[in-house]
Amino acid sequence: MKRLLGWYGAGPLHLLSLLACFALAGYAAVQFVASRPLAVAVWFAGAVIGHDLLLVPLYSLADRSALAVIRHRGPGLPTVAWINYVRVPAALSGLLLLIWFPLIFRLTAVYHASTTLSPDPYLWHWLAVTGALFLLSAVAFAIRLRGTRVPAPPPEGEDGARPAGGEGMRPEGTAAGTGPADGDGLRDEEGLIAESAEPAAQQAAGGPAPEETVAGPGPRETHTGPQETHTGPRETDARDPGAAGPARDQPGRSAAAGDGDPD
Amino acid sequence: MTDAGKAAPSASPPPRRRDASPVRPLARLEELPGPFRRSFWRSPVRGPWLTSVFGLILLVGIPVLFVTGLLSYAAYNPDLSPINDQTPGKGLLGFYLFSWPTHPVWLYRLNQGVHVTLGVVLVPILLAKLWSVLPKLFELPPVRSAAHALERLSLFLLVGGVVFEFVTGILNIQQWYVFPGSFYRLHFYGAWVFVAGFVVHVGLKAPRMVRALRSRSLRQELRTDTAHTKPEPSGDGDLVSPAPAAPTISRRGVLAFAGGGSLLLLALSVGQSLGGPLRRTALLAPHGQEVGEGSGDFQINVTAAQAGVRAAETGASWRLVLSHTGPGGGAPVSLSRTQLLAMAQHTAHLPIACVEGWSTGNQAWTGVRLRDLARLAGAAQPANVLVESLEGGGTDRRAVLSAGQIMDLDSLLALRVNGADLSLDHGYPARVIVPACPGVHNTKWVTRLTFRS
Repeated sequence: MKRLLGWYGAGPLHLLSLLACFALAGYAAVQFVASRPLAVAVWFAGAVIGHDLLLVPLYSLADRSALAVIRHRGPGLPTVAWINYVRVPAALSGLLLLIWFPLIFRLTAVYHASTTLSPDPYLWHWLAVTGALFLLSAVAFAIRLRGTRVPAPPPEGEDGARPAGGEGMRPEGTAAGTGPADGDGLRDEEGLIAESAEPAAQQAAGGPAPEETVAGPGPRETHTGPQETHTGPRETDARDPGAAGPARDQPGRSAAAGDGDPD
Repeated sequence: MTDAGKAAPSASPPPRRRDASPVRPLARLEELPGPFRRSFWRSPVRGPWLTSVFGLILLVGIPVLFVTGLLSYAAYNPDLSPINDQTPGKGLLGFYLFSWPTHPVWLYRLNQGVHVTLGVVLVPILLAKLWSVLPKLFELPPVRSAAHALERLSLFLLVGGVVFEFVTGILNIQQWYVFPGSFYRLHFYGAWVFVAGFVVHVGLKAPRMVRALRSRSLRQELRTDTAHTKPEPSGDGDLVSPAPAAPTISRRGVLAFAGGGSLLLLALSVGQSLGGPLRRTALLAPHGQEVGEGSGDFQINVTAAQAGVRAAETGASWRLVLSHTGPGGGAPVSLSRTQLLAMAQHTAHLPIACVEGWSTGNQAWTGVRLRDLARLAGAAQPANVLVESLEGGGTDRRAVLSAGQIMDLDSLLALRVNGADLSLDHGYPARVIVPACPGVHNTKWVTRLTFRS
């Protein structure tokens, strides 16, 4: 018995549960494939292949392409890492299409005949929702951009509005994880998550200057973090002769992030 | 998914050599092609903690889907008659069947709304979970032992089963019947094949899931932004990339991403199950539109034209034939619509709920109680009743209702709804309406009721 289990490679409970699993699955499968065994087997295996070897490679390729565009962007383009402002609305729109494409593309021949409802609006609904998602994302991006592009400390009012705007976008998932590595962005996040007035106030004082963020008396527990991440931009700064000031710190970081792969 | 060869050398640390296998020839992992090379997988957020969070959500959601699915099956009362049974070969898989109740009247509506809406809402979580474990598909060596081989085979049941179930369900609610055979058969037996894989997977992975969930604080993760996101320690399992890229999204970002997808799907589809003014919010759901703009009409899923019911059959010559088979059964009784309207009328406020998940609020149905018709046919204590329609064919043409469904005081042969005669598409001259009953068993265009004692 011991030798048998040694050959098997796991304990007896493992063997028993898998045998029970196959017994149950086999019992159901006899009826499952009963009428058209080949077609059902093709659909079942096709489900695995369609997801693992078709859908995932396709969306990964799309994601990588978007990242590649960022990496090779021109000098006049925004200096904030914007992948998630594209990734999130595009993926959500794609998700809606993935689920509702028979309705959107009117593939259901009997739809009107059986329900008396019009098959027409779904394409427009999908396009409208897609447009709204990108619009929300663009607004969130504009708010982020306005705060980070200005080299000098911005006026008080403008600065105070920024965390609120970021919070408004959060439920859409657009603002989460946008991740510019500047201290400004970090403290923005801190302020929102901790729901404390202190980091927001810190931000108003610190503005977009990352150096001040590190030195500031704000959320202490994150200080080791910013210090570490600053080595990233520094390296890219060395490669990028244009990246000198705090505002130019961003493109370097974006490029570094662009090398990354989100899978 | 970066091919490491393409990645800039400055961005990726040299891949660390790891001994994933004791088998010597496969130790040269970096020479393997594409996804079989572990450093091919570069996401810095992929890891056992993230996988376990998605796994935990599915561990709650999938049993709810399974139980509501089984209840939906029980609601057809398949044991009552072969006519009701869409899966006659179920054998032991029907072990739990029970006589479906008539109260609360919204029971089937709630059950199907939850089953379908939750299924749609879980799609992003499922996709995220499958994404997070994809490197395992390419693990090498493909088979380490007999135990490993069996486990991988069970994963085929798990992944194939879950995708099959979601795809067939989602296509069915859009009435795109491209799958090979009866939806009931495929979705029911497919669910059991999937559940076999699911239970064993949960059993084998639960300790690891608990360990992974305890390895990091959710609170801390929700405070960590992209810049501070670091890969999980690679100690537990092989999901963690040996050559992680710089993060472009945090773990909390991934959670918000998938959760946001779920909320979006919920917002755009739940209206078709809630009904009323909220129906119009279901911008992407098959029954998110009002029937007949502003007419106060309600949802239909089979029209008279589609069912092959001709207007001539429903005119003055239409008769309802009541008969009674069994002890004391006499000659059939034939009734015109006028005679039915002269009988004691009762009004019941009941919803219409479809197996496809959409439903309506309560409608005011008026007609003759089924129990009164049973007595008229000579069956004071009927065991069941066979309801037959004018429909030319299809599975909705006939249904058998249980004694409990016949005797409920709200079970009617409805002649009118919301103060007006039934429209042809709602089943004129007469239709069955039974509380908490699946829509397809509320037979329209009824022509014959055969009570059995």
